[in-house]
Amino acid sequence: MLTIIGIGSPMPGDQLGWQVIDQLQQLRQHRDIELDTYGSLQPANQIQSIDQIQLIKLDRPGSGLLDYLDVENRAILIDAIMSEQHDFGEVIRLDAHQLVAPSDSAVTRKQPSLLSSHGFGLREALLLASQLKRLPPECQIIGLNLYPSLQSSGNHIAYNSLHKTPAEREAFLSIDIRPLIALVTTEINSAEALRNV
Amino acid sequence: MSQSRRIQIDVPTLARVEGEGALKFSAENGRITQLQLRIYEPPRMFEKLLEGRHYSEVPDIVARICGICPVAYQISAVQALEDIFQVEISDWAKNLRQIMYCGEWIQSHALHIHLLAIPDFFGYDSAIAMAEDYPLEVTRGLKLQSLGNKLITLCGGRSVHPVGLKVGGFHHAPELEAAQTLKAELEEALPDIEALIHWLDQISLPDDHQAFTCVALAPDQALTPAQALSPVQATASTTTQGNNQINADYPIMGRQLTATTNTGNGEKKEKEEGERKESRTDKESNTSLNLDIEHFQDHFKEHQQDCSTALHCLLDGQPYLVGPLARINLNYALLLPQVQQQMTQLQTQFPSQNMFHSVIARALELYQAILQAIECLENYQPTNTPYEKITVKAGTGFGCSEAPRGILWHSYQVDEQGLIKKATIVPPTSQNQARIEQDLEQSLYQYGLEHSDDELRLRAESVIRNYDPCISCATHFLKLDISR
Repeated sequence: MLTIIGIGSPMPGDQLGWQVIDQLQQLRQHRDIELDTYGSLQPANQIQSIDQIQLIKLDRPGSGLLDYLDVENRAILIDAIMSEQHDFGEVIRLDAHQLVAPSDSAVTRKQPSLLSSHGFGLREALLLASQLKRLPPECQIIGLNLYPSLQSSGNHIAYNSLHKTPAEREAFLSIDIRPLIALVTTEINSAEALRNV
Repeated sequence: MSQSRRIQIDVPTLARVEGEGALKFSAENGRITQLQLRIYEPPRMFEKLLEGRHYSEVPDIVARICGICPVAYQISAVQALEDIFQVEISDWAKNLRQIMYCGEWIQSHALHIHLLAIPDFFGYDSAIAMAEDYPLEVTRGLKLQSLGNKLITLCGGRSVHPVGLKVGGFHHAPELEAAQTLKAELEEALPDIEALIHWLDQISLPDDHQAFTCVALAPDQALTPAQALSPVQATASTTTQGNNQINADYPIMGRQLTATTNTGNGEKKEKEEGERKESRTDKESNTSLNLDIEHFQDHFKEHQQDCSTALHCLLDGQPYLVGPLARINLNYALLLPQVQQQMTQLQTQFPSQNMFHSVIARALELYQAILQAIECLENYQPTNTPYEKITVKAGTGFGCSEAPRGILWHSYQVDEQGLIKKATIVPPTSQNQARIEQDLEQSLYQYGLEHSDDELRLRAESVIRNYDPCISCATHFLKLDISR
């Protein structure tokens, strides 16, 4: 079983994960159409195993993410990503196990006691899942980089508040999620292909 | 370590509390010279934002004040508005509100116990670090938290900033099947919560008894001082205190406030701390206040401190405690018989003057909330009339409910169009703030200033965490004085 979880909120400004799940839901319901909200997407019939996939939208789950992770299932988490090392709008794929590996988690462990539910984000949830042996062996994070390349620096408070200039805001609002959908559908198909080998 | 050493501890960002606060602590020659809980999170100005908005928007706006206790904000608000419009909600809606509020207590208490509080007592920096050695306990905590979220979702559509509540009742009735499924899950969780209570009771908590005033909601038919203060005797079917039988629920929503000072366990303690000498005689308790929430502001006064963007609230000029320990101290006779039965098996005795017992009080309330939710779901049936019709009228109204962290008082003034003219919201964290500072001073003296800076810092942070402060809630206002 493959579980795809879109992380976001019902409020504008943090809906990327939910938009991807909405698109996949539509592909599931209307196999013969091409979506035009963001231009033409992958034809639905190319996603071979969409019926067998769990599609879930979560509203800033914090530690609640663990309720949806199952070590027996493969998981893909879709979320917005802030990275100064990537271009704005670039699709980023991360292995969740890399994020919680001792070498990397040391960064988080520097300030673990700062955690409160307000500060309990995706990475903290994955760390907790890893400690509790509940992180699926195959767990990927796929997202779009929303860090505004036009801006040299900023506070990491909320990504939409970083888009301060009209040009940045316009870029943010019109961001193209098609490459992200394409990568997710490729992943779905590769999961199916692997199962058929 | 010498008493004359100079101690300067600056905790720029408090750990494992909700929101952004800091602590400044200095001592010299064995005397504390500075102790400040600084709340620097920017004001959020919700009271001003509400002015001019239609009354029907209020539940959704105030839910935004807190992601952890949005139900408390919504309930206090709709109570106050229903008070103005003189609408009596149906028993069905009262029952569903009780279920929803229990959900909030369950999720908030489970979160605080497991993710914020207990790492202190086991020597871990965080629940993540603790999870490696205590996987079953942390998993149990997450499961309980999840149950609370499910209850809120059942009643409110979603667990964070739910949308189900409205002035007059609810927008819609939850499905019967979903309610029954959740009731079964709650029943399955009862052994978990019982195990949690006994596990917490075994933890070695600091012995830090202090005198303080507790404030909580009372049942609408207020207890007499004798009832409020006599030891609990639990039976399987009734609750008695002394010779007085009490027929009332453990209050979550209501119109009566009660307060006592110096609730205790009967021990007399004397302690010398440098030149300070403190003498406390427990069981000198007396009920100092029984008050309708309408008269809250006659006794409870908020004021601004330079160090904080949250108002400090004092009761007749003195700090006081709200929250689980205050509630248990004042209302333990009203807990369900099963909870009282568990209490009789514990080493920890209530009422208690030890703030570190808050973690156990929270677990007992978690048990109470699960049992109460099961009881409320027992005969649940959906309805086609989930709300009462509102006839708008101008006026002022008051609402008060027991948020997970303590009483949350709202007052609104509405005009004849139903627009908000004035809003006043007094959250629990600003009520506890003065008590936290008082506790810090007493607790650090009691602990001993001879401890290392790191030990003192950890003790101070643990003291603050006992109150489960939600700083984001407390900074919803901005008091602006302009001199021209």
